[in-house]
Amino acid sequence: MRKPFQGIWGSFAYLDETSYVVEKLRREGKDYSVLSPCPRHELYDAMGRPQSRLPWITLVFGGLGIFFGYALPSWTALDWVLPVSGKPIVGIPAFTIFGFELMVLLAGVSTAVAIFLMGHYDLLRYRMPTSKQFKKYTRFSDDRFGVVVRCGESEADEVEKLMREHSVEEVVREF
Amino acid sequence: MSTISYGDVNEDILRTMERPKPAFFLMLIGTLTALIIGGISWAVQIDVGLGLSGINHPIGWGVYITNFVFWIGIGHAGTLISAVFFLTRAPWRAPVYRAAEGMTVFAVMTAGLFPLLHVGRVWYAYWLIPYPNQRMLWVNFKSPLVWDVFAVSTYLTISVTFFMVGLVPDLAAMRDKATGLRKLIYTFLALGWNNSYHQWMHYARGYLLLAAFATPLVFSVHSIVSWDFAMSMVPGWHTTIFAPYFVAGAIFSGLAMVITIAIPLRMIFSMKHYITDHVLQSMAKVILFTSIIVGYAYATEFFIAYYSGVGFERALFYFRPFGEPGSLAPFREKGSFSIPQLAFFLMVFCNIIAPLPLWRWKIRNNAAALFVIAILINIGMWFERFNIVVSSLQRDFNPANWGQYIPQPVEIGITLGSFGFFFTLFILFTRALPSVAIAEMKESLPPPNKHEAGWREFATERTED
Repeated sequence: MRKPFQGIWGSFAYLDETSYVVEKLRREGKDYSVLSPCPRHELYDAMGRPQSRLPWITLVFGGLGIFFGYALPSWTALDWVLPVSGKPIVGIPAFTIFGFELMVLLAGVSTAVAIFLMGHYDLLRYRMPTSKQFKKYTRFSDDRFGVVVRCGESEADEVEKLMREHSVEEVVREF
Repeated sequence: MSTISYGDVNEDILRTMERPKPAFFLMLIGTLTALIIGGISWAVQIDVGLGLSGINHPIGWGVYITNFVFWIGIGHAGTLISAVFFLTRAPWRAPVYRAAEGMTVFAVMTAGLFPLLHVGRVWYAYWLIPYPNQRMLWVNFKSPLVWDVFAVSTYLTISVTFFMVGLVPDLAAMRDKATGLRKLIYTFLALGWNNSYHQWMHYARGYLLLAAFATPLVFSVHSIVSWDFAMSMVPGWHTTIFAPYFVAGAIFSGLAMVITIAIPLRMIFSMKHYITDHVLQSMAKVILFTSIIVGYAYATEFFIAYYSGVGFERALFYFRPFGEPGSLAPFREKGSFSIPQLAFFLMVFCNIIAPLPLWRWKIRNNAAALFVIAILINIGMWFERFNIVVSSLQRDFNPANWGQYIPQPVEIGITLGSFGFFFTLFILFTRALPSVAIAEMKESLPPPNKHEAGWREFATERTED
């Protein structure tokens, strides 16, 4: 049975060196992941500015919010008609409040849920190292950057050489 | 700030959650005492009835609705800092945004108590929820009070969501440092965050979208709260200026509360190198700006009351500072300085005059002076809401409806309890969660680069390829 992760990973102290390695790996068409204590535009640029599909989820749920925000009060107004002086039964300006609030509510909550679901889905697609050494390495949330490359043993030498040329602190092979 | 490394940020911020100092327990005892007083007052009110409060015809909205508007307003600065200043990329936002956002969540939770406290029969509070009755008749969706239910509940949900999303990367950092039971709890709360760019990519885009939705929300919520008043016919309430006037006031009072919280926070946790004088100064400038808007709104209200030619409006705006029309009572008759006049002059002094020293750099740079001014603004903004809510109800169109309102001990106890509730939650928050955002703080620092030119050197080489 194939192991869930096969490849090499390294930790870096410097952002510019990490960005350089990431840029090279991307240009060489390698299958890689990057770890960072915070989002940095340097790494994002080096990765070729990948785009998240998350805004589509926000758009769909925001649109549903607008629909329900107008539909519910309009339906209730038409279901039991209560004429008050000359005011319209379906008062669009008054119902805009619900359209707006439900748009924000559904778009916001769905966005928050999607952030984590999409992140986890991507982690299933892009496997991370499974070794104890990787699991016990906690500095990616502290002050170190990480590069994980999924590759065969034959490519690992080349990747390790690239990492060592750019001040990698620690390199681990997992096969 | 530039000498702080990524490692220092983790160490300094996580240190604030270690074994607390005695000052922490002293503050907690103080806030818990206030909370208990509030709890007892509410219990007594439930037992005896709403008649125990000063609320009666014609003043149906007293201290409770004043507190509701005050606490909703306090919440606004948190969203302003976390969402609006995120979109405008204000560089001083990072150190205070987490505390401000926590403040928003707790302030809106506090505000949410007041409709329950105000309804009298709290066991029927679920009637506020929009659902049809037995005859399938729904709530009136054209009523500003129903708008308010939707606005405030959306605001609370989105504030909590925004707060929790921002916390997750920090919870992962805490998980990686913690041991034992704490590690177990933080592992659960960190939702499997592992700092990979597959997660950061969705996080950064999602956070931007959340900020983009929270920004119009923050302006809409207090506008809708203001329409609770402005949609009625009552003199002093029925005015088009209310929405921007309330929003400016909310930001003004909220920022004052952020300063009230941030100054002790940086003192107790020795965080002067994060919450710097520059951060406090920047907030002071926004306070000064909103103070001018609020002052302008006060002046406009008076001018429009005069210029409209409407007798009822003129009479009310005379009543607020001077008492009965033509009497100039507070200045002529000894001892006739009643509650509406006291509220009016406190409001003018605290909101317009007290912030004036902030024009001077030296005052903005002095944490003690800033703290005193912030407290005065908090007092002033509470009395502004009191002034709006109560004085208009005291003097409506028909003199037969005129009345007097004096807050009763139970209302004062509950008001004190609301401050206890808010500050207890905030103090516990500083103990359990990082009060400065770790990941965002790192993002605002210069990155650790090996080459002096850093990213530029790399970028040049990249273009040459």
